[in-house]
This record gives sequence, C-alpha cells and structure tokens, in this order.
Amino acid sequence: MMPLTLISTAFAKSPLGSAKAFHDYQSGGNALLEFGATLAIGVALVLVYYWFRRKK
Amino acid sequence: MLAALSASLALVPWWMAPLPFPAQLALAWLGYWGLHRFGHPARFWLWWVLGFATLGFRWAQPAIQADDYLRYLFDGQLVLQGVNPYGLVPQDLPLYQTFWTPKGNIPTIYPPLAEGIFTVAAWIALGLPGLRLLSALALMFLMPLAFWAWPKAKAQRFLLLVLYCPLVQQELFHSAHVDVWLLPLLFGWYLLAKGKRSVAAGGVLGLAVLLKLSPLVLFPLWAVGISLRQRWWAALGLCGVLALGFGLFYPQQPFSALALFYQSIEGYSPFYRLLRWGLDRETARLALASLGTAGYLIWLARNPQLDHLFWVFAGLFLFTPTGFPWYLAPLLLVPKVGWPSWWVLFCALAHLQYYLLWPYGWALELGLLAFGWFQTLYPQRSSA
Repeated sequence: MMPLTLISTAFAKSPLGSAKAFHDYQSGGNALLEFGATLAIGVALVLVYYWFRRKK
Repeated sequence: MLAALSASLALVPWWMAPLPFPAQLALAWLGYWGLHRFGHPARFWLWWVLGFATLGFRWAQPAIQADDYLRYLFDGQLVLQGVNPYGLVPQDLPLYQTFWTPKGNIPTIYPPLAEGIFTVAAWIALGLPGLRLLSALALMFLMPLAFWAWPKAKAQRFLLLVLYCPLVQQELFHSAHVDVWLLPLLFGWYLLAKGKRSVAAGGVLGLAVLLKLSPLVLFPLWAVGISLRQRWWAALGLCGVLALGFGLFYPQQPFSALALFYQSIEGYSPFYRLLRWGLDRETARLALASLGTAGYLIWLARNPQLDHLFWVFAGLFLFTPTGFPWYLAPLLLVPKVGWPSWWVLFCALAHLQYYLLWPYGWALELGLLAFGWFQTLYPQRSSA
C-alpha cells in the first residue's frame, strides 16, 4: 500500500488536491476542475505512452 | 387485466416474494447453458415465448437489489404533474413525505428521454411491474432489428442469448434499469451507421444520449472513421435531437446533478476497488478516470472499426468509479458471428457481484479483480 499512500499524500498536498473548490461537491467549479484535471492528466499519460513507444 | 393480475400477485405474502428469484435465475441459467451447449434451437418461437415467461414469472415481485426504480416513478409523477424534475430536490417536496426516493438530496440525474419513459410508467400506474412491462417492450424492439439486419439463424441466436442473459433478466428486467432501452437504440444506431445513413444514425445516437449520457462517448470514436461530409451530417443529426430533447426542459438540465452523482457514488468498477485499497476517494477517482481518458484517446487515434465500438462500455464500467454491472449491457450488441463469446459470458456473470457483496465482502474484492483482469486481457488475446 505504500506507493498508493504516497500518491494519495502527494495529491492531497498538490495545488489541485489542496484547493478548497476541488472538495466542494456542491459547486459547479468543482466539477469543471475535476473534468479539466482528468483531461490534462489523461493527455499527459498519452504523451508518456507515445514517448515510450517512439522509434529509437 | 394487467392491474387485476398485478393485484392478485400482490396477495403473495411478502416473505414468499424472494422465493421465485433463485428458481427464475436457475431457469435463466439453464436456458443460457442450453444455448451455449447446443447452439441454435430448432423452435425459436417456443424458446422466445419461454424466455418472456421466465420474465413474467417475477413480473410483480419486489425488486431485491435495486431502488433506482423508485426515483424513476418519482420523476414520472413529477412530470405528470407538470413539474420540471431538473429544477428541484425531492426532499423539499410534499410528495417525498409519502414517496421515498433514492438520491433525494439532488435533482434527477436522468436525461429527458429517460424522463419520458418514467412518465409513461407513472401514467400506467402499475408501479414497478409497469416499468418491467416497458423493459420487456424494449427487449421486443430488438426482434425486428435483428431479423432485418441479419440472416434468420443469426438473428434468432442473438435474440435468445440476449433474452436469456442473466444480466438482462436481473438488472434490465427485474431491477428495471432504464438502460434496457440502450439495446434497441444502440442497435438501431449501429445498423444506420453501418449503412452510412449519417443523419439518421446521429439522430438515433442522440436519442440514446437523451436516455443516458454515456453513449456520447461513441460519437468521437465513430466520427473519426467516416468522411468529413458524413461527420457533419452525423453531428447535425446528433445535435438536433439533443437540442430538441434538452430544449423541452430548458433552462433546467441534469448536468450539475450528474456531476454530483459522479463525485459521490462508489460503484463496482474492479479497478476503482483496487485503487481504493490505498487511495482516498478523490485521488482514486482522478487516477482511474485519467487512465480511462488516456486509453480512450489512444484508441481514438487508432481509428477503431465500427464493429468494435461497443467495447467502450466495458471501459465505462472499468474506468469510472460509478461503474455498475448493467453498464455492460450494450456489450451484448458486439456484432460477431459465433455467440456466445467470452464477453457475453462475462456480461452474464457481472451482476453476480451483488450476491457476493453482502455476506462475502472479501470475495467480492477478489471476484472484482478477477473480472477486471479477465475482461481486460481477453480482447488482447482474441486479437493476437
């Protein structure tokens, strides 16, 4: 569990994880923040994927 | 007559109500095993009628595992009374005092076409059996589509496998989840898209999105595989139907309630459960959805074939924290000769998670992991 706990702690201390709006489910801004963050991390993962698969 | 039948079945003592459940499930499995073992039956109509008879066996029984239908009927009542269900919270209404509904602290999350079906169910005034009648109707719509699309033997085989699939019998009929309407709608979309009828296909996909927002993820996957001109026509059909549907309830809409639902519900996605062993809810949700988004974008870049697009529903089950077994139902439409395939069996088994949930929590976790790995690995093996 250690790596997962580390990830969780790191996220909680990140600008997104510590932003009050991110945890306020009743606000529309929260959903937009989460959607944006999901998309951004997803795109970053795609870039990592293609970087690893690049022809050397 | 239906009301009289409903009333007579209601006379069954409450403690006997769950008794037909294992018998019905056993019957469904027997039929399913028979199809798997012996293939195409000689007397399709006999099996078809028998399949609906197994549904009818539990037509008036209480729902054992679900309470979503209460919200369906609640919403239907609101629309019948001329109230916009997107604009208010059930807990604030007098109706809530006599009619409990799940998720009573948020406005409804169901899109307009779903609300229309709920309204019909409320108008029939049979309660849950009325919703089940509508579910059976949705399954019947598959019949003309299958016979129109495929040779007789293939259509018959497909119809029986869907009808006898325990996931369909349990989640789409017994629990009356509105997702049952995705089957005829997405089947219709697939056939129209296959026939290059872009506007009509876009329109039918729009209807599916008006029933449940999730089919919207199909559009980019479909659009990358068609010409630019077809793409515009498809977008026109889709946007036209969506504007019409959501316009009926303007300016209220279900999106904010859906976001709230997404962030507060923990479903049965095996990957989510795995991440939840070590992560808090928000981090797990973000990590899982980001992985799903990445997979989706990579798949999109590979220009997937139309015949493979229904796999996206497996992704919705696996990579969203709200994954529930009935999200897998559209996988039954994956058009491949030689049913039953592994994914049909998987869909049939997926709802068994519920039975493991209560008495055997640890087994649920292991089962979910096994399901997840199995489902993820199988497509790679089959294409290898």
